[in-house]
Amino acid sequence: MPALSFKFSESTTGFLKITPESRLILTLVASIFSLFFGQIVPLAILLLVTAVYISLEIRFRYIAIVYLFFAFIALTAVTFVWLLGFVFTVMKDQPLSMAVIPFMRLSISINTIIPLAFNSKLSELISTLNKLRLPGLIKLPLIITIRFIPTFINDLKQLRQAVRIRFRGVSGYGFWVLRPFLWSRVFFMPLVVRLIRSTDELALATELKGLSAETDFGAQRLIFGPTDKIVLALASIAVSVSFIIENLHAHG
Amino acid sequence: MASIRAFLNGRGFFETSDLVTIGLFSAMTKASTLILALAGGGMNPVTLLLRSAVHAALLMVLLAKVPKTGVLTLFNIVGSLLAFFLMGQAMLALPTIIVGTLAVELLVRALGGLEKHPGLGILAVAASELFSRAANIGLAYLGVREQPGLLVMVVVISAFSYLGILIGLAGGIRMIKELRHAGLIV
Amino acid sequence: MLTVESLTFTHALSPKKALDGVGFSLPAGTALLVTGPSGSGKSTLLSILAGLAPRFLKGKLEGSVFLDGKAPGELRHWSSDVGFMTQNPECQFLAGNVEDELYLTLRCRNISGQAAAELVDEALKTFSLESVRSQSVFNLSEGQKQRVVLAALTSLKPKVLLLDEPSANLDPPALEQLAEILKKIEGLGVSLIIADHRLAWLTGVCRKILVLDEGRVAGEGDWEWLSDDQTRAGLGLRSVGRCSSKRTSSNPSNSRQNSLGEGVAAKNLTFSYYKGPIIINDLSFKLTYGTVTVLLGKSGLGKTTLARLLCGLEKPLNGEILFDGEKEPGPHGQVVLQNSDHQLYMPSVLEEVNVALSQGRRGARDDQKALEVLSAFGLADLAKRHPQSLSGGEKQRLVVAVGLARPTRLVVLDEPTSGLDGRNLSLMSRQIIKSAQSGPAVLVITHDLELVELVAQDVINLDEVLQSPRELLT
Repeated sequence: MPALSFKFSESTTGFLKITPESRLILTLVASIFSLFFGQIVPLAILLLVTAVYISLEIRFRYIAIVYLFFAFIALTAVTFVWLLGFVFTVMKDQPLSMAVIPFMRLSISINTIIPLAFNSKLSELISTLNKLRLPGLIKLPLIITIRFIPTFINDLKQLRQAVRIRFRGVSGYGFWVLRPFLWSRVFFMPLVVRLIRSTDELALATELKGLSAETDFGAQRLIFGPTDKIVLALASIAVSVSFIIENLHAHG
Repeated sequence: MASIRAFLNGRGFFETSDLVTIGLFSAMTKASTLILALAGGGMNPVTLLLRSAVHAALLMVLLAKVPKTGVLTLFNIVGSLLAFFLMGQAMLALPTIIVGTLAVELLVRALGGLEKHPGLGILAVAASELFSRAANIGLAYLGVREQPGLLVMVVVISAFSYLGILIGLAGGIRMIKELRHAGLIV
Repeated sequence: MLTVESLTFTHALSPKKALDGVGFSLPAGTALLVTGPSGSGKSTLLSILAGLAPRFLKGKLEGSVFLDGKAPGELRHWSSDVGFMTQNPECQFLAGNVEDELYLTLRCRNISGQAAAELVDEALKTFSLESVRSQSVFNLSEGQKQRVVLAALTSLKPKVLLLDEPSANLDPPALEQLAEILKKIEGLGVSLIIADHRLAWLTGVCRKILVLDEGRVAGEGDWEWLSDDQTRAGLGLRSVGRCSSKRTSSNPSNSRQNSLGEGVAAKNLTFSYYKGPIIINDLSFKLTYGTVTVLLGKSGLGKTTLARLLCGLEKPLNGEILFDGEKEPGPHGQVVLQNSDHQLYMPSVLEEVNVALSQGRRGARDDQKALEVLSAFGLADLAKRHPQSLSGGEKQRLVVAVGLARPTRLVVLDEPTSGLDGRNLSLMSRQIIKSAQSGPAVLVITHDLELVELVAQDVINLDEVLQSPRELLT
């Protein structure tokens, strides 16, 4: 997620040169249709197509890391529910193994989410927002949000360093266990204070600039290049074929 | 039609500073919950509680700073769009969340509004978060309908994260008091 | 002509007047310096002149302000004529890169197309920003960030520019560059009002000076009036003279300390961030116990990184940090970082010092000791206040007080005086020297040459060291 200042630039292959708008459309279409389909074959087609898509966009090593990460999240969730099963006996008989179809749906989403997330850049996102012609009421806070996420992540890094020095007696992994209230306070309060100060400063800056929800940010037209058109056409074919098979199964 | 366009462009009701505040609080909420998720593996109980508690406490502070009807709805829309743009999270539950949150905000308005009764912020956050979870459970059902047993996991996780919301509400009340003492919010 | 008549302002939450009957007039194309001790009302005055009160800056406003006979009615109209650069320029950016930021500023005033393109090109050229036109605003130096804000503001052809504490984060070369730019803007017929504590860099820019104290005009005059030391001291102001260059050169005595015995020694330090360029290359030096060493150098040379290395917050690629000839694991020493907001955590000033003294351990409360620490920095009266309710200068003194409170072998202070007035600068420098006398090696990273004059017992100038790599520790 380069938009969040993490160093993911080397994770992408740069092979498919498609616009962020195309990635957004692919992600949205994949998540809607994967939810809609209930048969194995159409889902398998979508899974295959999205697997090709992620392989062209992201290096294999990073795909493996992402899948391991999601597996870890799923495992913690399952373990948590399993542990609760000891307390609430009604949950003991529930199946905890991953079913095939939900797993396929999740994988289709991951395959489209990761290329979008790893290729997002702040400046591109702001320009994408302009192209989408959202109402000013939504566009202005959204642009502010995207603009300030890196600032907050930077604040958090600085805060972490300040805490390590000030509380070196208890800092490290034991801090939140030894003094949970102090730990949550020293991390949270300065961030909230910074947030409120930034809010005031930025509100002042926007007022002075004359920026408002009515400001025309210079919306540009959506332009799709040849690669975008090919990728979107292939995606449409895959979805249409899956749709037909899904309906044939449903009526057969 | 012209008045709807004027409203969507924020004319008259929301000041630019209100929209900036909503944007920054969305940024902070997303950044902190994302970092907690990355640090704690997303679904472990401690991370779940912390993420929800942070989310609720920040929402309380936001409502204390901008006590207007529509703030929560706008916050949810911006947050969902952001999650979609940055992380590809689908916004399929958004329409339900908007309807639910708007209903909660209208109820709060009917009870006198946040300007007159700041305490109603607790009700607003608690009820709108309940709606969000219900909408997400509904959506999750669509995703695991062939194996409904898996829904138990979603329900348990949602319930646990709602517990975090309740803890966050208490934290939010304390925080608002302290921020007033520090002169940071009026 | 800008005319200010009997301006009085009381903040919404305060019973005290922030400004009390302030009046002056400023002809077009003239630069005015507004100075005075911390809390004297400089920033409030600028905010009112920017048209922010009472709608944005809530409170009771009396008196009048006229620009060419026009009062600040609707903010959006007024702010085309009056540009305001706040203390933190980064907070004024909304676009991703430099060029977009300038376009956005113009678009907010309904200037677009070819006219905007020409204005952007002109502004980039005037402010020497052509080489960074596509660069992210996050990656610019402080000086460049200020230049982007000034370029954006002047492209709107304002009549008055207001600058709040512009020198706070700039190194001496960047300050000189800013002074040149301001002279250029003044030459365009724009009036400048600059609120600042640091005076010396403005001697060639401003001809008129207005001194505020507790919201009232304490005096008005020119540089000759302020050249008298007693007058300045009485008004709590800083020096108007430049620092002598002798104080900014690396002290040769440092290279004579050729033992790894007592003291904090950096030995052959090399550092780069993850896969980035080498920032510090094979640097060695020694900090002596009981001595204040000042670390100088241009912005971006790695001074703060060096501080982090010394205290164990970063690991060097090569080399080591030795305390009395031995390595120390984990974070060590005390560092006071630049941003005080990140270093204040507790609900009261007293609690802040107490937690620092106990380092977060349970049951180690010592109110008496905490009050002593606060008294030394003139903060005892504020013990019950919330740290975030303090002024910028008070917060800065508090974080330094907290940093110096605990016994340690190394104290690093990063820009401890950037927003301090003359009175507090003297107080801070006395405490820094006193702290060093009690034992630790004290390293002060600063661009503030007045502080260098007051505290430096030893100097490491990274400009010199990195230009001609040499070991200060043989």
